[in-house]
Amino acid sequence: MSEKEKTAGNEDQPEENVDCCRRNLMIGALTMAVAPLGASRVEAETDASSMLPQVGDTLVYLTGGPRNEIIDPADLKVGEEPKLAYPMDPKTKTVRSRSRLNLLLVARLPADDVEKDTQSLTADEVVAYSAVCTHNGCVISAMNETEHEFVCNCHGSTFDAGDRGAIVHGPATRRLAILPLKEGDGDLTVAADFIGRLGPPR
Amino acid sequence: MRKLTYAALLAIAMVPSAYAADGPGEYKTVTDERLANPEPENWLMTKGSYKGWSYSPLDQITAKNVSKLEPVWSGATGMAYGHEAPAIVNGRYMFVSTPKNQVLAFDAKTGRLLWRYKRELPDGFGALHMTNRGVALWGDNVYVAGIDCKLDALDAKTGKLVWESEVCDWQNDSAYITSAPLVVKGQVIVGPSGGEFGVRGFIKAFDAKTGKELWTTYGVPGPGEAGYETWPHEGEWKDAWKDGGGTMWMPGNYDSDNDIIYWGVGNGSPWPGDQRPGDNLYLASVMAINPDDGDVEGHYQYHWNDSWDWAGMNAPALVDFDKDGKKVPGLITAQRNGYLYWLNREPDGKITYDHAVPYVKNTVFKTLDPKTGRPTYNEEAKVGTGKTATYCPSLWGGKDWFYQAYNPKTKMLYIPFNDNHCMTLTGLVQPIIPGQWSAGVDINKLDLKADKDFPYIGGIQAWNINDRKQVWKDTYKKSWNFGSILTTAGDVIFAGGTNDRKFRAYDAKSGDLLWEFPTPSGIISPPSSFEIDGKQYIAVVSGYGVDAQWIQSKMAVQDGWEPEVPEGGSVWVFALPDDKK
Repeated sequence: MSEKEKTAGNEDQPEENVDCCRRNLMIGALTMAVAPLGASRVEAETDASSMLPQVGDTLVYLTGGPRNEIIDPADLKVGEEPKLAYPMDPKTKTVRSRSRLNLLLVARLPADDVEKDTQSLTADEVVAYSAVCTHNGCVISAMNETEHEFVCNCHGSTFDAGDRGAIVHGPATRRLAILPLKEGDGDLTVAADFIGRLGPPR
Repeated sequence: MRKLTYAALLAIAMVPSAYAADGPGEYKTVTDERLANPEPENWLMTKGSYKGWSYSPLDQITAKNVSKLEPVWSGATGMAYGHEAPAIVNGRYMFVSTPKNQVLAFDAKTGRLLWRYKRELPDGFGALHMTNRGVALWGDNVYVAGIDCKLDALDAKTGKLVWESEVCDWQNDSAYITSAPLVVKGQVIVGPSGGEFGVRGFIKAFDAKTGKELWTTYGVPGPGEAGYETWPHEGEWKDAWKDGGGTMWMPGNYDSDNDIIYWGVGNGSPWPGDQRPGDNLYLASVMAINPDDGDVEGHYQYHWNDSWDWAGMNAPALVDFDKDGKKVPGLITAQRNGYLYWLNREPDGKITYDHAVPYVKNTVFKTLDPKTGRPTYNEEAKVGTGKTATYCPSLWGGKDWFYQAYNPKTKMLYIPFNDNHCMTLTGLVQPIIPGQWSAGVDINKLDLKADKDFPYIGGIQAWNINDRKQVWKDTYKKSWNFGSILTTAGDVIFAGGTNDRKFRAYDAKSGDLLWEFPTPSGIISPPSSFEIDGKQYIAVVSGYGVDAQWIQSKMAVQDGWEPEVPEGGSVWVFALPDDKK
């Protein structure tokens, strides 16, 4: 298409360059094609640290306990500040800390405040949610006096941790994604993928 | 056969000229020479020129006829959030960047949308200030820094991506970019925000043709660099420099005669200064930088051990002012700390103090050293760890990020200001966690208070830079001012910034209000001016948000103001009717 034709076509439909995925895919394909074996291994390790939580992962402290130590659910008390955590591959001990999306908010809730359909996603009322606020992407780390509502530091969006992350009040318009847990042997284990969309709309 | 050939040739010859009459035509390459000496009819960079004046030499629109100004065209950006980017104009090509990594190109004469560039934000991305402050031009490219740390070069005619480079790391370091880049000698220079997240500030230069990274200069010096000694190296805070703030989040200015860049440096991180004992160069400073290698040639620190979030991010304007009966090269800047500074500008980059006066109430500074301008502090008003302090002006300062303007005809500096507001903060120690506020104060306890029975908050002040006195002042009883100023050779200043959504024109000499126009949202973007086919235009982007909106909600609780200014971006272009020029 000539320059003139392209511009002429702009009158009703301007040229839109939505750039995100196609180029990345192309770069990814190129990397795979030319990467030597050693580089692939490094890349695999890097990928493991940025992969989303995998079923069977255990959770480790970022805050509220010794960093990168496994969280023992017995240490979590109702009414405490929630802990920030990362998932960790229990076999390779790879902490999946290279993606903001893996920041998790972990807390023990009062049993009476956990709705029925949330109960099965907890490990005896210990819940894990995405810590990335669905309003503007700030990291959430606070609980209010109800002991079951998370509050975003930046703009005050509030989410009900006992009701699958439902919005109590905005400005967020999307519930917080929950990460289903089950209790392991002195640890917390990821039982399934996140339920819900992660972070703010793009 | 010959006739047909002639007809065909004629048709071919006619098509481009017919098209040129209808469209924006050829794109005029932006050169170093053009950036150093911009034509009056264009607005090639955020502040109009390297000197940082926000001044247009166009004089068709004057104080006498500006009351006839009418809208010519407008266009929605399709985005909410705060729009803080000016319309950048080269010929008939106008470029406007918006929040969320979008650039729009318009035909500046007709408003026709030429192209739109959008790049999706990555999953999980977050930033405290979801905004963008403008594009830069060089060659045949448009440069825009994405909030997710990527610097993009776009083809000015098509909006197609030419190259992309990484400036910072949002994922692990919590840096994000709101600044417009500055292009100097074929280098695109830009730095991230993130002083509330433990980011150690810097600017990076990239080759404008290839995107190759060339040099980095930090706002906080590291081991072996001059100024490192002004940071603690022992005890609890020995590593404070590593995440000490000093982000360089507004575009600098450039002295093209002496080949020196002037760049402003932001606040300390965390805010309580007792977590980083020392003067803490180059926080709250202006740095003089060699554009060839990023070397620091000079600096001036407005206040030491910043403890108030009084960032020095706005580079001073390059002016010549009277001193001892002579005209001397200088720098002038209304700083966030509430003082107006006159500084001496040496050819080798050295910067020395000349004079400073408060332009709003400052309850922190007790004295200024008459030779250096170094302040002594009212310690009660200095925020510390576990210590509550009240100080004025509040963290948004006498003037936040928006641009002052200097008019070489009136010799006046125009300052958009906010006064009669104070802050109470209590310092605490906060861990640095990716994406989490760690400014050393509880973000939910930013206790902003306007003075009891305050006569006004926002306004505009005009100062004569030679006799160093205020000439006029206009004040807003029911609004803050978050708007940059444009001044023109027609003796007019243009400004938005208020919560009533209005765009205004004032007599630059007297401060008389001459014209106002309500836009769909409020205006926090810098106005610009350009000329096409002999007609002068004024452009501005309407789109309230970010900190201005947050403050509005606070004022609603405290003083019963409207809780919210409607959001939504739109570009507006004004001109005189043809018979009123």
